[in-house]
This record gives sequence, structure tokens and C-alpha cells, in this order.
Amino acid sequence: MDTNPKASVLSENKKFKARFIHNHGQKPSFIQITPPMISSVLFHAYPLLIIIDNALANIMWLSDDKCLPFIYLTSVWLIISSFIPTETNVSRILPFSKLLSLWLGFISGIFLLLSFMYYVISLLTSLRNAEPPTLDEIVVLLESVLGKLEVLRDELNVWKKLKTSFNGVNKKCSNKRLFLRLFLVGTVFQIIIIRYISVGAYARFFIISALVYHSTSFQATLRLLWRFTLVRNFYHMGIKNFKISNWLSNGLTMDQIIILTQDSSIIVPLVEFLPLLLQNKKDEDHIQILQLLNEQKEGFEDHGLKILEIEVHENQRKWHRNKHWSTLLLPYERQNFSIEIKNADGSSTMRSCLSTHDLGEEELPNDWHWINNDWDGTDWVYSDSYWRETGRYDSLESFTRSRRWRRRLFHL
Amino acid sequence: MSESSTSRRNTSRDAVKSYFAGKYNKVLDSILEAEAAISRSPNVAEDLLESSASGNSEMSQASLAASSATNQGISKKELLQQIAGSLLSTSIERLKTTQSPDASSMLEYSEDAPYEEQECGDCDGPFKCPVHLGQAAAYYDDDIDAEPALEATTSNTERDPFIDVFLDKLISRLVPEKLPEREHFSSNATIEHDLDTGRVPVFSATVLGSNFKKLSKKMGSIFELQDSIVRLLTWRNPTGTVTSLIIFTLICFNPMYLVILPIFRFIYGIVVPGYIRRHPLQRSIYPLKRNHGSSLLYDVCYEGKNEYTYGQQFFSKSFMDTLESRNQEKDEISELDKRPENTQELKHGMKVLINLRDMQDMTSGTLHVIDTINNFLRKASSFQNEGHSTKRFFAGFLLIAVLKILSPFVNWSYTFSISAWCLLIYMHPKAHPKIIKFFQKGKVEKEYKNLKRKENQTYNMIFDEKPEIKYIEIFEIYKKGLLPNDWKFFKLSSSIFDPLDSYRRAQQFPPGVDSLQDVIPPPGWIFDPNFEWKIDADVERWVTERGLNLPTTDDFLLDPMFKRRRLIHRVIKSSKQVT
Repeated sequence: MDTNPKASVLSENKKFKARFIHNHGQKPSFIQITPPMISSVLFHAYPLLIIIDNALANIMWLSDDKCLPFIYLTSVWLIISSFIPTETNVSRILPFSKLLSLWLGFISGIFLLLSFMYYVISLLTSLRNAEPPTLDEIVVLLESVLGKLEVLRDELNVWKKLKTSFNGVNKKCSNKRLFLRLFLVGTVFQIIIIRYISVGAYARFFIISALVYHSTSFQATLRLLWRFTLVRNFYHMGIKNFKISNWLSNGLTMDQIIILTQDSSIIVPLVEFLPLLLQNKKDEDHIQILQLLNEQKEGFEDHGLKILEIEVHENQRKWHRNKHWSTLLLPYERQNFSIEIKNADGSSTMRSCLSTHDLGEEELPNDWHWINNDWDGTDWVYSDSYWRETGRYDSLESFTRSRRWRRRLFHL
Repeated sequence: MSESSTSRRNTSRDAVKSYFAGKYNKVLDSILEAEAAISRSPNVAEDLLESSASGNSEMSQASLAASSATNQGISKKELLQQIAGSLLSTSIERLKTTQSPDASSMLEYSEDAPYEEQECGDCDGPFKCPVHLGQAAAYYDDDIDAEPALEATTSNTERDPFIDVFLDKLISRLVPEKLPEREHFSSNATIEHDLDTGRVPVFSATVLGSNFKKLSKKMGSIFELQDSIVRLLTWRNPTGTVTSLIIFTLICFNPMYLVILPIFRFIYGIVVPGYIRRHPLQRSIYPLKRNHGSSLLYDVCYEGKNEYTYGQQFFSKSFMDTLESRNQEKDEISELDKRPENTQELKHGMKVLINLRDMQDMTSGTLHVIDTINNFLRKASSFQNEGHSTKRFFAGFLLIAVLKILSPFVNWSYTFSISAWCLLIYMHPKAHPKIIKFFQKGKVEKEYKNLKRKENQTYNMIFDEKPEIKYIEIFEIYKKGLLPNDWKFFKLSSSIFDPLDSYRRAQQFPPGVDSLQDVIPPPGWIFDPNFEWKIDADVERWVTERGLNLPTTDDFLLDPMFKRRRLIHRVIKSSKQVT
């Protein structure tokens, strides 16, 4: 894939330029392979398909003349206004204004109805006068409708949007967060809003935003707003100060890590493992271990040796496309150093911990000792903004990266 | 650049060159001659200024002498016209050949200019001494002959700055070095005070020309805006008209939209499209070849001839940009871009020309509007037609009173928005004739009523102001004969012709006539028909008023050679305007 324009310019003179793959090439004729029954049905559905296609185009504001959809939008607004007055205090509304709004709503309703009917009639007459469509044309129209519907579905999939909170902390969207979002979008909160905003304004706001939602401008607006960390923080409810745990400590210490991960430790017979253990150690440690064993006098042959492997993820994020990697991460996602903790239900959560250096410096709790002298690190693995892995090399796609540091402990 | 295009451009340039060579021949000759005339008379430049400022075509004696000496008879007005003409044609020529002399050639010349001046320190300017005149002529001859050896491009690039510098020099000699600021014309403050500060803009034809050229390039957007406004007002873009009406209504009800909408326009007209161009939304949408059906609003506004169908409306240029398929066109477009910039240049030149034409239209339009306004104001204020002007005054007065009283009771939002809707519906090409028809139904009756009303109105006003009365005087002068009491009629004059009188000291006749019939009142005044010329008996009074120390007898004022008496007449100011 040639995404780098500079490189392509440089090599333009010598090298051969590859072409893009076209998805919508000429398709083989359908006449031979389509049963007559289906052809007939498609032909009869053709006007309906055109109407649907046009309606979808209007919803998506694809017309070059943006004024026409705007006029329709205004008409819809006027109709809603005539039903539900803006002001809650009815006595304050002048009778003239009320009459005017009613009249305007009525006229707009008639205008919308008439324009729809006019369109349908003019469509039918022009179809009658024009030569009948070919099967290919019908299929292309069908594809166009499907394509638009797909776009609408992608943009409108609220459930998917609610659940896309994979932020590198949990494997799935946590129930707590899902519930919070449902609460914001759902009824209870809306009822509270309606108490403070008039019903008219509420209805207008939602209907108008639904009508402009699929316009390119609105979609672009959403994307541009998504660039602000404040917006993302609000969406993820991840503002650091809201979390009490963040006030208490910066991250998990060795004590807490051992308590939380103890379940995953394995027990091996001491006799078998001891030579291995001693093999790696230097003289001083050697003596120390033997001293430790000596303290536990009674029958240590039967004792099992508890071994725990700790895996710390070091994470980094790229805030701008062409800038260097930063240790600063978004507050709602996994932090610079984090450790994967298994929950009771089998899922796992990333929790931030102290840096590997700090963890190594820390005094270990009772009877726990490092097996390895140092942390054993892997290479960086690169991933996109949502921590979905992209590969082992840095590319324009990758905005985050992480690597693992492993170290083992044993307990007598 | 291909060879064929070069040769084509050369031929066209030759044609343009020969045309302008012919044109400049006359202009240059006349300017050179004028320059010679100017150099002979030192104060002609000041006279030129005076005459141009006052618009007076009378020549002073000095300049008369100068022009008669040249035997050319070039009046100052002609000279100015020629200079202005050459100035204009220079600018136009620079505009027409879009390939203007590039910066380097201009630089070279400006470096040459002071050098020339240094070289010829004995004469005032580079073209005053005969050596330079000859140079100039040689320069010019080259152009006219258009020798094949001489490269067309070089002559072209050299000629432009040559004429520019020539004109600049000429104008700078004709015009005072320091032009006063515009504000000095309105206020009567003395100019000299500010001239000493030194920072005064100088007039230069080159700067004017280049500014004009730059401006004509940049005026495009303004004319487009103007054009789009016209299209909106004439319902050629019906949806746009309705949209702008809706927006106007919004502004009427909430003026904050005046701030909001430009920001909105900036964000969604410029910023967001830019974002989409850089980061396209991944929307796969199929274009359709054929489209059926049409919109009600379009058909209503287009009177059957349906220019817009949904097919044109949708999937036009900007929509195609959003298509995924646009990627496949990218390669071809990039290859197109690399073509020789022939077409682009042509387009650019065309654009400049169109802009120029629009600018010309705009200036003439502006002049027309100013003239109309001036005419209206003059008619309204001059009381030439007393009834008309009085009516206007009364209407205005009444309007002020009524509007002031009504203003607190008006809902401005409704008034403005409804009137805007009404106005634009009235202006709709289809609705306009119908509305006019509707209002013209009872025209005959109305006309009859109007006639009656007018009859009544003639007695609504009465113009019986007492006219202004003044007295005029004329002196009847008698000359002393040979005998002591022999006085002979000499002249009727407005001057007393006493021994200290300037005419008498110059030994000239005083201005006057021989008969009372030839005496006319001052312009704008007429003689009172109920009054005849009367001899002023109170001689002492007018003599003392004038401070004359001479003897008087009866009605006369005497001096050794002449005697005179004062005749007075009553005059009335006529209502007719003095033009």
C-alpha cells in the first residue's frame, strides 16, 4: 500500500505506479441469469426503489442544492411548532402569534405533502414516458439503496456505539459503564431534562438533530468534536478526579499486586526446583536462600515452593501523527504501567501500577523473594487508538504501543 | 511549452504590438511636443494646475505666448486629455497582455532609470536634452519597424517600463510634488502646514496601473457575490431565495443570528469541507445515471420549463467528490494537471477581462446611481416647482411625525420578515404580472378619483409669500463741456468714476451703457413694473456712505471734470431658479 505521498513523488520517475482496486466495475449482464419472475418483481418495484433512494438521499443531505432539504427541515420545524408551542407559559403568547404559528404549521404540512405527492406523480409520468429501465439499472439502484442503508446503519448503530468502550482497560464494555450510558440516553434522565426544558423545545431538538444527523457536516462535526480529550473523557466518564481510587494512590504497589494475583501462582516441589533456583544466583543470594531454608527447619522436603510470575504492561500513546511517543495516556484507558488483574467472573481488568523500576526497588512482603535479578522485557507491540493490535512495526495507523515486563517471585 | 503555442503567442503579440505602436506614435509625439512647450515656459505647469482645478479654459497671457511660440496651438485642455489618454491606454495595455513584464525586467529598468539621470545632470529630466529625445525616438522607431532580428518579447518587456517611467516623469513634473490629502479639500485648513511633515503620497501611473491590475484579479469574488445576490432576488435560484428569506426571518426575530450565521458559514462552508477533503468519511454511495421526477418548488418557480431535475440536482460535482470512486480518478487528474498551462493561462486572462468589464459596469452603474440621487435631491430641495417641493416637505414631515408616534407599537420582527417575504413574492417573475393585474383592476375608477383629488389638491396649498425686494443703483455721469455750465451726458455706469476711481486713473472708460433701456437687473431679479427710475435726491447720504469728499449741487456730485447723480430702481426677486 502506497500511502506516503512523498515517497511516491520521489520514485515516480523510475518506478511503476500500481492502481487502486475498483469495487464497482462493470458487472455481467443479469438478463441471462435472472429468473423472469424476479425481473418482473424488480421492474414493478422500480418506482418505489427510486422514491426510497431519493428519500435516503434527502436524509443524508446528498443533494448539491442544500437549500431544498433546509426548506423541508424548516417546514418540519414549523409543523412541530404548531403542535407544541415553545413557551410553557401559555398566557404570555399573543393570540396573533399563536394563529400565525398554527397557520404556518398548516401551510408547511400542506407544502410537504404536496411536494411529496408532486414528486411521486412527476416521477411516475416521467417513468411512463421514458424507456423502461434495464435490469442492470435496477440492480445498480438496488445497490445504491443498500449502500445508503448500510451507511445509515453504521452511523446509527447506537447499541454498538454504546458498547464501543473498549479502551484497553477491559476486554468488554463493563456493565457499569453500559448502564451509565443507557441511563444518560434512557428515560429517567430524559424525564428530568423535560422538567427543565419545554416539551416543544425537547421534541424540536431531537427531531431536528435526527434529520441532520446523517449529513456529512454533522458527521464531520462529531468526528471533530471527538478529537477533544474533554469530550472523550465525558463519553467514557473517565475523568480522573471522579475516581476515589485515583486519589488514594498512583498505582498498585507490590503488596497489592501479590495479594491480587496470588491465585495464579503455581506450587512446585521444592526439592526439584531448588537446584534450578540456586543455579542462577550469585554467592550472596545463594547463602541467603540457604539461610532462609534453614530457618524453616521442619521437614522442608515436603514443602512446596510457591512461584508467581508478574507481567507488567508498559503502555505509550502517540498524541499527534508525526510526533514522538508519550508516556501520557488518556485517563480512562490503561495507564503507563499497568497490570492485568483477573476478576471473579473470569474477565480481566487492566489496573495501573507503579513503574517496573519502582516495583523492583520496593521491599517485598513476608517470605517473597525475586527469582530473576531483573525484569525481562519483550519488544513493542503497536496498536491503534483503541488498543487493537496492528503489528510489530510502527505505522501511520498505530497510535498506541505496549510491551511486557516479566519477573518471577517465589514464596517459601 | 510546445513550439506551436509559442509561435501562436508570438503572432498574437506582434499584432497587439503593432496596434499599440500605432496608437502610441501619436500620443508620444504629442507628449514630446507638449514637453518641449512646457520646458520653454517656466510657469506653464502652475497654469495647467490652475486651469485643471477651476475648469476654466481661458488661457493666461503667459501660456498663450508660449503656445503661440511653438506654433502647435496645443491648449492645456488638449494636453491634459492626451496625458490622461496615454495613461489609460498604458494601463489597459498592461492588463491586456497578461504576461506582464516579470519582476526581474522591472527591476533592471528601475536600476537603469537613476543611472540615466546621473548621466545627464545638466538637463532637468532624462528627456529634456536633445540627446535623450533622440534616444527616445530611436527607442520608439525600433518598435514601429519591428525588425525581425529584434525579439518580440524583449521589445515588449522593455517598452512597458519605458512608457511607465516616461509617464511618471512627465506627470511628476506637471503635478506638484506633494499632493495635499483629501481631507484638506473639505476643510479649509492651510495645506502648507501638513506638507512640511513630508509623509505625503505621490501620484504614480505605474502604481496606479499595477494596483488596478491586482484589483481586477481580486474583484472576482465580489462580483460573484453580487451576481449571486442578483440571482437570489430574481428567483433564478428559488430554493436559495426561500432559504435566504427564512434566514432573514430568523435574523429579524433574533439579531444574534447576525453573528451566529457568519460563524456557522465559516465552520460549515470552509472548515468542515476542508476536514472532509483531508479525512473523507468512509461512505460508499453509488451514483445513478438516470433520475426521474422533479421537485414541486422548482417546477413552481420555473414556469413549466423545468431547468432543474433531480438528476441535475443530485450527483453533481460536489456530490461526486464524496464518492468512493473518486479515488480511481485521482491518477488521471494528476496527469491532467501536468499539462502545459495553456488553458489555465487563457482562462486566467479571460477572467481578468471579465472582471475588468464588470468593474467598468460597476463604475458606470455607480455613476448612474449617484447622478440619480443628485437629481432627486436637487429637484426636491430647489423649490423650482414650488408645489412639488412643498408637497415633498409636507409628506416628509408627516411621515416623521407618524413614524415616531407609531414606532413603539410596531413589532419589528414581524414587520421586517413579512415585508421581506411580500417583497420577494412580488418580485417573483411568475407572480409579478398577476399581482400587478390584480391591483390594476379598478384602474379606470381610480384614475377618475385621482383627477378629482388633484383638482382639490390645487386648492390645498397657497403660495403667497411676500417676494424679496431690493433697490438697485446706477450712476448717470455727465462730462464737463467747454462752457462752465455745459454738461454733456457721458455714460450710465455702476461705478462712480470719481478722481480716485481705478478706471479713471487708468484713463479708460468706465463699464456702462448709454441708454436706460439697456440697464438690466441682476440675474434672478426683475424690475418692479410699478416703479420707475428715480433720481436719488438725498445726495449727501450716499456720498458720505462712500466717504467721498467732493462738493454737491442739487442731485449731483461734482468734481472738476465729471458730475454724476444716482438713479435707483426697485427690483423683485423672481421665483425662477438661477442656473
